[in-house]
Amino acid sequence: MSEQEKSLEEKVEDAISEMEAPDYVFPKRFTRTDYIIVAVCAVICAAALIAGAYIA
Amino acid sequence: MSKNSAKERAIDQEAEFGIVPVTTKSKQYRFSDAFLFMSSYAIATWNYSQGAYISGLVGFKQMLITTFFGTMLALLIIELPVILATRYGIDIWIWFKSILGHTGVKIATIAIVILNFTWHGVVAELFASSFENLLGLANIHLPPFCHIILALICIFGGGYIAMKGIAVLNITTKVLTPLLILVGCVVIYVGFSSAPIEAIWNYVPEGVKASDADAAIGYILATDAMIAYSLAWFGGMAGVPRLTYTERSGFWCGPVGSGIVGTFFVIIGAVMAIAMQYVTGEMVTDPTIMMATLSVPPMALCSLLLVGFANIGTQATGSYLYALMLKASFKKAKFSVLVLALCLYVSVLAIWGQILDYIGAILSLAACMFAPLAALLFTDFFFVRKQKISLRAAFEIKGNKTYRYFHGFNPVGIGSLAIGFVTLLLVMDPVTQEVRIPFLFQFTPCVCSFVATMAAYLLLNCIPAVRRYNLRDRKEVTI
Repeated sequence: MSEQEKSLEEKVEDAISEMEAPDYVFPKRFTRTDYIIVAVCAVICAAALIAGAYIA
Repeated sequence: MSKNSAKERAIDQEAEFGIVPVTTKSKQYRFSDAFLFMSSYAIATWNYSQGAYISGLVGFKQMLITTFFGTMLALLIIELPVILATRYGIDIWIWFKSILGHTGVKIATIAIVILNFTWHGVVAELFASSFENLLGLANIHLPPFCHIILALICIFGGGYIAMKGIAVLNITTKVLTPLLILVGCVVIYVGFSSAPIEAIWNYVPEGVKASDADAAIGYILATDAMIAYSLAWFGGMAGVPRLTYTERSGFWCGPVGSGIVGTFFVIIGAVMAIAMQYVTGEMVTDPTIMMATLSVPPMALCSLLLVGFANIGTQATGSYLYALMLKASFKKAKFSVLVLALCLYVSVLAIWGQILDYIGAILSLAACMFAPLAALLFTDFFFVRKQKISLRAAFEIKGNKTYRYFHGFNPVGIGSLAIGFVTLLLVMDPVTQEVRIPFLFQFTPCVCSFVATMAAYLLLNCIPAVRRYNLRDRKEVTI
């Protein structure tokens, strides 16, 4: 493994270790409300596509 | 700058240009930044060709429905797993190592570049044509060899911006995207003003008037075409969410940026094509010709923005995202080398000069890959691996070989991919569009392929021995 690859691997390991730390703050997660909004939007789109098939 | 500090800077840039996970403190993008980036990628002359194509299949009202709702439905589903990019700061192709194996990912990403990056050949080709037409309006006729030079300017201009990184891309997209949307509004106004509203609203293509069966097939093909158009974003969809502050902004930049803004420009293409057909009897989608014909010739200068800057912007953002995708598999390669390789590939297509004749068939084949890949990622992330992965295995830290599987291939993922691929081919010939199973065709070939892949992967993971093999990483999950 070259020196650059070793440095890169160390950088990746540092990032992973940082994320494993108990006090690491992850980006704000997708909430249940977000999933519901996506599902509702998807259902509306599917319904519109089905309805569109009957438009002249 | 000393040799060591240059190396350190190169490694630091790996987070931006490469594969090092982007941790929370290094995030850079709010929703507005991500939206502008994805919109800039979406806005290019490929939209006008897509709009004209859809207009040949369905009437105007159905074009609006298939374009907007078809795209949004596809993006809402296939883009959901990008939250992994925000959460772990990685590209989806790092996650894919758990599904396809390390060598499987390499082959998949190369195949995607070969098939999907052909869009950029189209972008370069239309860039050259539009500039030739623009100069032609001023009675300046360039010799034939200038066509290639113009295409190469688009390709390498975009590549140069991509190599400069996020900061320069941000400036480009922040300036370009609002201008393009504004010009788009002007163009759609010109289109609607050039023909009676009823002529556009009631437009139905000749082939559809023949029978209800033709109309039904046209509608399904149009919906499938817009789903395939959305699937084309799949390869580079996580490059931007990787850098966003929240999962919500990382997700929505796709459907809003690529979806809403992208489809707006597809609709512009359709309106242009229909208006031109009404006025001249010919469907033309070159904005230069359209603006000069339907408005005053100086308005054709708007095409400088619509085509010129838009296409260079798309080359830049596309080159950045696809080089990132390749970096996940070829981590030793320099980012700039990968961008250059992409530019050279598109240059070969531009010199070949026939990409426009084959793009439909190529993209149909690309959809055969994208639909199963999107299904695999969706199913694995939400239902099989349940949003947890061994990052040390994905990055092969200290020689970790958990995701090596069988000589670099995960037969579970590869097998499911193959089932999805074959399903699409069974439903419809993607090149000739011959319908093979009419019952399944009504759900669109892409949806059939997605569902078949999802079902295959879920069912395989219900077999205990297969599940143990596929989920060999569970004890290594630490986040």
